[in-house]
Order: sequence, then structure tokens, then C-alpha cells
Amino acid sequence: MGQEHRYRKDETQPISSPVETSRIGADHGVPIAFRNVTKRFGAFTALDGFSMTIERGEFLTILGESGSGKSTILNALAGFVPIDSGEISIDGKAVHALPPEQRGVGMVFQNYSLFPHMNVADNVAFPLRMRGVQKREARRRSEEALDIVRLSGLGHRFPRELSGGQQQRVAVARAISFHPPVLLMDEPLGALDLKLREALQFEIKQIQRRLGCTVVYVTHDQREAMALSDRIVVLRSGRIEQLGSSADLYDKPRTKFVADFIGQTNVIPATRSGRQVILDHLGLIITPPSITGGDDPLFLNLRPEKLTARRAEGQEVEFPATVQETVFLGDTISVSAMTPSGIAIYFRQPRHAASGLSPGDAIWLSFDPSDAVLVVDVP
Amino acid sequence: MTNRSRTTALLLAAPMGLTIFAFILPMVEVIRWSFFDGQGFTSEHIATALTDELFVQVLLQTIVLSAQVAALCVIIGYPVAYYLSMMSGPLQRLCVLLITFPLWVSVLVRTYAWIVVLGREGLLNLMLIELGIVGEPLKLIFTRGAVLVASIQVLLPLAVLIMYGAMSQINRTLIRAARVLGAPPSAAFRVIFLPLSMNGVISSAVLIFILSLGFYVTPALVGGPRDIMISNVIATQINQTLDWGLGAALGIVLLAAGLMVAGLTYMVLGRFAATANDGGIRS
Amino acid sequence: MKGTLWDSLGRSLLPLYFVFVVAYLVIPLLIVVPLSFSDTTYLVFPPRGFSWRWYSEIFLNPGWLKAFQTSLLLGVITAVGATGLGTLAAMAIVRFHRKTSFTIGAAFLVPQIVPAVITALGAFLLLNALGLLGTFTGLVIMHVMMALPLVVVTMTAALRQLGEGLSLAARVLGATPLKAFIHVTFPAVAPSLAISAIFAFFISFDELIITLFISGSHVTMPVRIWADVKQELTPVVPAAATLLTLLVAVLVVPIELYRQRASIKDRVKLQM
Repeated sequence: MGQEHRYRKDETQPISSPVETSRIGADHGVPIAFRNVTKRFGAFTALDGFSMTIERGEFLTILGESGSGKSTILNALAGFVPIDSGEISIDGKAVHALPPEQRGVGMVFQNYSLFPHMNVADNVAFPLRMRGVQKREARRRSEEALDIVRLSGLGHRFPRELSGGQQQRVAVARAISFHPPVLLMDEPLGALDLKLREALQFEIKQIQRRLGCTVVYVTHDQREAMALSDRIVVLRSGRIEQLGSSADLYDKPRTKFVADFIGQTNVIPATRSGRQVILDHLGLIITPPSITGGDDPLFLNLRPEKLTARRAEGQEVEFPATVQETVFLGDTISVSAMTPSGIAIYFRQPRHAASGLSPGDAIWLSFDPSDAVLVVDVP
Repeated sequence: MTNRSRTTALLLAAPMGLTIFAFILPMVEVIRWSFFDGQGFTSEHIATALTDELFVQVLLQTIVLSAQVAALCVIIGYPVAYYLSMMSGPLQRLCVLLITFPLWVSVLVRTYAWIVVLGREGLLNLMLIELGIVGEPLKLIFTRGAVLVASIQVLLPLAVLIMYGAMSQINRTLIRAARVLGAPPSAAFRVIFLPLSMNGVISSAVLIFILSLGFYVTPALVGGPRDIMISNVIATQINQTLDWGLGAALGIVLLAAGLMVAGLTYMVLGRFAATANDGGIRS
Repeated sequence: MKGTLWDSLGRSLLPLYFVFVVAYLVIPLLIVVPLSFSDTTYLVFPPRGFSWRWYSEIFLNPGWLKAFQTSLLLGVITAVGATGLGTLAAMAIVRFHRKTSFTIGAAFLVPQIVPAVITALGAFLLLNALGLLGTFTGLVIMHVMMALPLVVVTMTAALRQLGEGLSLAARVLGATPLKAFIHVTFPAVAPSLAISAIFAFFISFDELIITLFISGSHVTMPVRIWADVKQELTPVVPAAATLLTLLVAVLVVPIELYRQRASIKDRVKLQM
């Protein structure tokens, strides 16, 4: 039932990707660079002087809300949208003027985009056949790629006969079958349910480690980004809000936007007074480890797990609050409380510590000033 | 549950009744007239329809012309449908309208226009002589070519719209995927888009073929005496020769020929499109 | 390189080709317009003089006027009948499960794909046997049957899109099935009903072959044009053709625009 497609030899392009090496596991990732890239769609500016360097073999995630420009970055890198100005280079070579098929990158799409009229083996062999690899050799390598995504033996099936998770794996196999030095992934897990998504996150990570390719991953799910990435770039309105490791972004967000976006948190309005910070809403003055930012509005970023609740006062840095609601999360309990000044505070407690808290309880919340991170709110 | 199915049956009763009365019974009547006469069963009419040299020749001519019309409609229409499916916004709406509009104008009016264009002193001859390309008016009308040109003009919009419908079902990310995975535009079209649009191509070819089989107006108006189709012969049997049994038998033969060719097309071409249109991965 | 060459070739040639094909489809429709204003009693291109005489011929000549009236009456009755029956069928079709629903829907489409001459032949034989040949009743029955498939398709699509949710909600809120239909379903599908009716009208208004076989002394507009085209070539036919085309432009163009807008809205909805 194998679908026969004849590809004319003269139409295959010479491509710089090392398709000659059939060895898998070679560290052949290449660096990628964006220099001052701008892209406008009519009056809407999707990318505004965007610059970024991605290291050889790095797993970089572009994190942002829809409309932040994250898809535009990926589409510009893949060659789907021409950029207005700037330069994009892969392995030191400028590629922004090349058509997609000459950029030598693998890509996994949001809805997999498997070719419905080809079976799994033909789908996976497609990039190889397009590069002039002989049928027999292409079949062998397609088996190899299916092996990596643990789908050996399903080559004869058609995409519609597979589950969502299986389709996703085929999409990955198709993207890596020609050992591209760069792998682009556009919300590849977006259509799957939570459990499957978490399982596949591990697999994607493993595959990347095994192949050593550079991965550019786009998602709006900050948990997924933190789980997978070497570095994350948080994008907002076509500009980089912050670029750093998962831990960097979580522990040391620079802006209120990043603090809000990554994980659950409390951001409390603050005012600067010399080396001290006044927290009107909590009735506190603290001395944080450092103060950054100029005249932009200042906020204190306080992660829920950094707060400790007590029934009575007695700590140096603490403020009163009333319990509003408790939510059982298994290993922890998430509590929302209200300060007398009327702002909501979320905190998390281990099960045993929080047991007994119920709505209406008066409590004191304390934290270590060295855990307090100041963030600015840039428009 | 029974209440529900009773309601459904009640809803269906009138439209079903009409279809049975005005479509099924006439078909039965056609069959009855072709196989029975006053004495009972007879194969005489069918035998005449299948052996008389004139009828066989007209039948073959009808099938050949219909196949030509179907093939040309698909070939001419495919790039048009492709172009429409690549457009977007108000321009697309306008262009689809330009294709749809002629479809609603009476076949009679559309064929009549070709008399004006192709006539001996028609527009085309006038232009050709004016431009000095020909000295004498060409014989354009009352030819096989005129029947083809007019029939294609009548059916082309339908072919385009069917193929356009199938093409707009194709997920464009598939083309992007093919491109980024190494396919140049021509290969992406040939290996991805073309096979995925095959279902639309086959549907429109078969439909155009069947509709052409029944063409009556066009051959009568712009065709010559030798370009008559089976419909015209059937009409003659009914109105002039008054041999209703033979007319009915010719109808049966036409229907059978149409079904056979359409079935064959599906069997042969359908294989290429068997899996093409189930977009299992469209979200 | 080759890819870009193909690309630019396609980009410049396709629009040109499209314009060419549209010209092939549309120009013949426009060509009859100047002819209809000709001052001569015979057809000549380019037309000479200017007059409305062929239009007044249609409305003053008793034969043409009668044909026009017959077509109009037949069209309106067909529109009402086919829309009513087709809607009933569509309401039944959407009540079935997927596969059955599809099969029954397809069954209603069969008349559409049988060559018209065979239907005409059968109609002639049946109506003759029943003594209805040449009667207006016979014409109405056959025209409604011919218009039914398109109404069923249009209304099934409309009702499917509406879903059962709304009318069920109305039922839960205390409406009887009839009231739910009148107050909820009907207003929601009213545009589709109007579209169906207009389409049905046109199918009847344009029908020639079946009418030719069974109409007897009832002459419709197409039958009259048919007779004239075969007999004499005066500009009265271009005038009639222009009127018919104009009618299509006035009634069908807004519908098509509306339908496209609706389908684009669906597409946007699907994407979200």
C-alpha cells in the first residue's frame, strides 16, 4: 500500500546539513544568531530590532503570549515570512534570504502537519527523499528515526490511524530523520492532554541530548519552558523581556511581567527610600539585598513558597492577614489570604504545617528579606 | 424514542413522497417502456438502441464529447481553482463571485451568446477580418469545436467551484512543512498539494461528465447536424417519431453508459485519492 | 534557483490566466446586452442605432408577456413548495446519526446527477399515463422535484450548523417543540430559507428540458426563447437574455456575497 512518489533528482537542493553522516548522536548542533531583526505586518510590529544568539546544541525556548512575536521568530527562522530588516544566520551563514528548503532545519508543527496521504514511513523519509537519498537508504534511516521516537514497526500506518501522542512522535521523527543541525518546534505539545504532555517533555529532552542538535522551541506554557530549556527568552510585544536560565527567570525576574508570567507569585507595590524599600500595603520597611531600576514603578516579588504562616506574631519581618480560601494540592496546600489593606496574598505550605487553617483565620505571614526580589514595571 | 422516530418519519413523508412520485416513478416508467410493450416483455427496443448504427454512433459521440468536456473543464479549471484557493480577503470573494455568477445565468442564455460570438457575422469573425488575420469569415458555428467551447463555458464554473472547495480544505501548513523539510515549491506542489486535491478533481470530472451526457441545448444551438447528442435523438423519438419505447431504451442505455464510465473513473482514479482528503490532523 | 523561477513564473502567469478564463466565462454574457438595444430587426454586430423596442416587445407582445407571467408564477410556486418540502427533509436528515444522515441526504441528491433528458423522458411518460401531461400541476410537481436537492443541501447545512442545542435550550426553558421552532430555530435559519427560496426560483425559472417535454401549451420564458432562437434571429432574444441575466445579478449576487461572508465567519470561528 506504500505510496509511490517520484522525485526528480535535479530538483533537490545542495543542502549544508550533514545528511551524509548516518551516525546518530554526533554533537553537530550549530549556533544561530538574530541581529536587529524587524518584521512588520501592516501597522503591527511583530519584531522590533530583535537580537539574540543561540549557542551550539542549546535548547532555547521562546516563551510568550499570543501576539508576542514568538511564532514570527520561528517563522522567520524557518523562512516562512520574509523579514523587513536585520540578519538571521545559522552556523555563521546568513540565511534570511534563502527559501525554507535551503535552510537545512527540521521542524515540528503545532498540529504535527503530517502528510495525510502518506504512511508514517513515507512521512519520515520525506526530508531524505527531498535531499536525493535513495529509496532503500531513506527507508533504513526512517526506521532509525522511528526507533528513536519508539514507534518502530508502525511505518505502514497512516497518520489518521495513530493517536495524538503517536502523531506527535512521527512529527518529531520526520523532523530529525535527516539529522538537521537545527530543530524548530512550534508548540509541539499544545494539542495533547496534560499527562501525555509531561511524558513527552522528557522524551523530547532525551532526544535532543542524544542528537546534540540546537533546538528552538516555542510555547506559551511557562511550566513546559522551565522543564525543557537550557535558556528561556521571555518575549513581549516583539521585544526580549528577559533572557536566562529557568532558575534565573524564576528567582531573579527583572520585571513585573516576567515575575507574573513565570510561576505563581505575589507582586506588591513598593517605594524606594534610599537603600530601604517601603511596603505600604504590608506596613513594612525592609532592606533588600539590592535595589535595581531607575524611576520605573517598583514592586516586591514574593513567591508563595517563601512565605510562612503563623497564628501569632513574633517575627521580625511579618504582616497580618486573614485566610480567604485553602486549596488542596496533594503535597502542599495553597492558601489565599487578604491583608488589612485589601490586597490578596497567595502562599503555599506543606500539608502538615497548613492543616487547620480555615477561612476567616487571622494569621501572620513572615518572609526572609533576602528572598525578596524587587522588580520594575516597564510599559 | 419511538416518538422521535415517528416525528422523523412524519417530516420525511412529504419530501420523500414527492421524490418517489416525481423521480422514482418516472425512472420506473422509463424502464417499463424500454422493456415492455402491449404484449409483455420485449428486448426489441434495447436491441435497436444498441445495434442501430446511427444510435450507437450518437451514443459514442456523446460519451466522447462528454469525456472531452470533463477533461478540459478539469484541466482549464484546476489552475483557476488553485489561484482562488491561494487568495484571501475581499479579492477572493470578488473572484469567487465572478466564477459563480455565470453559473446562475440560464444555460440557454449562455449558449445563445455563443451564436453571437461564433456566428458567420459574429464578433469573432468580425474581429479576425478587421485585424486582417483572415479574409473570409471562418466557419466557427455549427461545428464540433463550437459545441466544445460552449459546453465548457457552461460547465467550467461548476468544475472550478468543486475543485476550489476541495483545495480550501487542504491545510496550508502541510505545504510549509514540506518546504522546510526540503521540498522546493514545485516538489511541494507535486507531492503534497496535487495528491491532496485529487478528490476534488475526480469529483468534478465525474459530475461534469454526467451532466454533459444530458446536454441538449448546446449541441442543438451551436452544433452542426452531425454533432447531435443522444438527448436530441431521444427528444426526436418522443416528439416526432413517437417511438416512446425506443426513446426510453435510449435513455436506459445512456444512463447505463454514464454509470459505467463514472464507476470506472472512481475505480481507476479513486485509488490515487483514496486517502487524500481525510485531513486526520486538521485541528 | 529553480524553485524561485517557478514561483515567480506562477505568480505572474496565474493572474493573467485567471483574467483570461473569467473573460471567457463572462464576456459572452455581456455581449448580448448591446445587441438588445439594436434598432434593426435582424441581428448584426456591431449593433446599429439605439432603441428600447425589443424590451417593449417582451412586455407588450401577448406571447412573450404570457411566457414571462407563466415563468414567474411557476417560479414562485416552486420556490415556496421546494423550500417547504426541502426544509422538512433537512429537519429529518439532521435527526439521524452521522452515517444514516449522510446516506439519506445523498439520496435526495440523486435527481441532480441524472442527465436531465432522462428525467424529462420519465416525467413525460408518467404524466402521460396519469393524464397530467401538459397541465400546470404536472409542471409544478416536476419543478419542485428539480429544485428540492439544492434546498435540502442548503437547509441541512444551516440546521447542522445551528445544532440542536438552541432548540433544546428553548425546550428546557418551557417552550413546546412548535414554539421552539417558531421562536428559536426559524429566525436562526431564516436567511438560509430565503436563499433556498431564491435558488429554487431560479432553478424553475431557468428549467428548459423537462419543461419542453411536459409543458404542452404552457409556454415558459425559456421555452419561448428556445422557440425564437430556433426560428428567427431578432434582437428580442438578446433583450430577454439581458433581462434574465439582470435578474440573476440583482438576486444572486447579494446572496453569494452573504454566503461567502458567512462561510468566512465560520472559518474564523474554527480557527479560534
